[in-house]
Amino acid sequence: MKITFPHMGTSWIGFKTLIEGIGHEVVLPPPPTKRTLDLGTKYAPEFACLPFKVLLGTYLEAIELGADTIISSGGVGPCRAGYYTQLQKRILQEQLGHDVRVITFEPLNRNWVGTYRIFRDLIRVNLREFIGLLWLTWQKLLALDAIERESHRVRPLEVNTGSTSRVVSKAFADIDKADSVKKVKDVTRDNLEKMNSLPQDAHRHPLKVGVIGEIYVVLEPFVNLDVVETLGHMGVYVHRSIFLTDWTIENTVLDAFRVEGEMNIKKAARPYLPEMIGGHGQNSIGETILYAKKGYDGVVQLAPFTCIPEIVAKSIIPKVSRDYNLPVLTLMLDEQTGKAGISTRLEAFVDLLAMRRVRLGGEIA
Amino acid sequence: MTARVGVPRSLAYYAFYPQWKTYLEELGTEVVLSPPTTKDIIDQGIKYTVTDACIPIKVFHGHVAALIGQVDYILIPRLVSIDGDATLCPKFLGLSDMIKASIQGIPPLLTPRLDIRDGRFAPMKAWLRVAKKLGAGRQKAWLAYRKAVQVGQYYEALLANHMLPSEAMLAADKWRASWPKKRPLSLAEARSGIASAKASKTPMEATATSRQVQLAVVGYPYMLYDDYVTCGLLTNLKSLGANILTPEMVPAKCRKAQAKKQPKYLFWHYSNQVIRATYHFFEEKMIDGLIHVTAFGCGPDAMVDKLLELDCRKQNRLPYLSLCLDEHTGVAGVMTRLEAFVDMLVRRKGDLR
Ligand code: SF4
Ligand code: SF4
Repeated sequence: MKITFPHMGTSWIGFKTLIEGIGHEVVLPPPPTKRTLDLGTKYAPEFACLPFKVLLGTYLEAIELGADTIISSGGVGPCRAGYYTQLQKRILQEQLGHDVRVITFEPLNRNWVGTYRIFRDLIRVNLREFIGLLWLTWQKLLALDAIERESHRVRPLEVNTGSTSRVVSKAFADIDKADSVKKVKDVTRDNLEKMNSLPQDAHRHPLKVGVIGEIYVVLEPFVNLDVVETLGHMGVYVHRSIFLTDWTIENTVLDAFRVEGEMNIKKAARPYLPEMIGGHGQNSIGETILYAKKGYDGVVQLAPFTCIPEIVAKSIIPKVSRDYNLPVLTLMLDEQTGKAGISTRLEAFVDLLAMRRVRLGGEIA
Repeated sequence: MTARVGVPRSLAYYAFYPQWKTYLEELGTEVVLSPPTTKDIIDQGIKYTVTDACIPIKVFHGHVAALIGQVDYILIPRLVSIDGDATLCPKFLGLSDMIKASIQGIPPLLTPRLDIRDGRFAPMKAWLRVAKKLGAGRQKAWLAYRKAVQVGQYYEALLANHMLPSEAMLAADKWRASWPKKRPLSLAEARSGIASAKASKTPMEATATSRQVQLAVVGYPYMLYDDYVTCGLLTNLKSLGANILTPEMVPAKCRKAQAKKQPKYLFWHYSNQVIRATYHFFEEKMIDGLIHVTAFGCGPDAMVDKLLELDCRKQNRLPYLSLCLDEHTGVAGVMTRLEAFVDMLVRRKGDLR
């Protein structure tokens, strides 16, 4: 089997390790480009959300590269993501006539048996090796997140623009190559040190901005047009609300045991939106409030065009923003959104935040 | 003074108004319904919503705004799950929260949370809490609830008998006045005495009878039956010579029976109903063509529309028209497309004979 999977931020480094480890050839999902999106847009329904289109495009490109099996995750709603693969499968097979197998992992707590069957089918190593592999994959994912998190802190302080991003790319390559947990830990430590010893300007007090929104557009730099890095280069400290490993613990691991995660966020959101509405809708409200309480200067909400939960959130956020006196910029992303437009809007927003901080008696540089 | 409770004439109104009205009136309140959708209402709605919202949500905001100043409460139930399986579209789940955040100066909202997954009696308990808020006693509330449920069931039965919501609401009202007399089930009987009963034929039969085609028009009730939003779609189709079937005309039991054909259920109640009704039409070979009425930017419909398209293709390439409506849709444009589609169906039917 030649297996491919969705491309989401840096997570491919982890999944590659896992799938190769259990004995299959991996067709790496190519990082999305304009062409990916064009392909996806051509065959996806017009109002499908952006992640749907990008993923469909990614699958088509991976099929061109020889993939014959797609592994993806399912879900239970109430949002569309859980139905993605169902429909993508029909588009690929019925409409485009591709002979691909599509394997969907449904959430554990609904389907232990099904998950077990899929695993039995896929795994060509013994249980001990498999558990070892899972651990290695997890460590890699943790390492990737640790690097990114640190880069958000260092980037606004860097003296030489771009130096942080260079270390980050190197670190990702190192983690990709590492073949044992120990090596993963070593290269991560080294790269974190390197990042910390980059020339930094300790006198800056960067603006602090929280980035919230739908998981795919928050995690995939191509889709959000590098919002996080762009803000960093503007001298802004960015706190990204979602990291894949945190999200996995809160939503997959806990869910498997029927424990509800992210209670603090949900609790914060309750006065404005007491209902779970799927996607990250409720989180977007809750996180905005928590950022306000932590003294952040502003929040950027990222949402795909037609994203249902984020539209609900967007309708409510202006009130939250008024009540907590915290500026929020909502960016609705679709296939026509251009990087230049986003940069302009971010610049204007950052200027506004800077003026606001000065007015409130704070300092920046 | 009796409390006045406003009900916006949109979204869940089309499925539940008779039930809600019965309940509220039996509790001794006065029910005020917002007027039918107009350009004015839509413009108000646009003012209060984000640009990305779908047209039904905009329309709903407009209807809420139209009630301000006329009522003491506005009823916006939080419909979470009514079939115990799927939920409603996330925009329904956060409906009252959006309203509260975007419209200033609205009267207090009544937002019973209706989630049958919490137990068979959960909706009833939610409604009883509404009664308490309105100051009605427990026993009165319980009787009102019982009656409301029966009226609601009757209303559904009428819809399944090919009545349009506007007509069925009148008939349900009439029966309620004579409650608990046995409910008239034959259509003619149900219709006798309702003001709008004119002809003997069922309302969805073609008015131009020379060239009949059987057409299913599927979509969410709040789209299909809002004449302003659809630019009079159903009436126009009838005058073009089409007999029309809608999802509500398929009895709930038959819709449910089709569920097994879905490899995975959709997550949204009304979307499932659209798909299942369509499968019912397929199975019974009832239709010559399918029209899907959908709202610009509707999230669930992006999925539903593609599924229907692929399914029609599997049904021997059954003609399929997807009609996407928004606040700028003009009557002329829609008419042209409908005419072309119906003409094609007539021709195709002739060829097949
Ligand atoms: S959260 Fe938004 S982007 Fe994600 S599946 Fe739902 S609608 Fe699509
Ligand atoms: S189902 Fe579609 S039209 Fe209905 S509220 Fe949701 S997004 Fe809007």
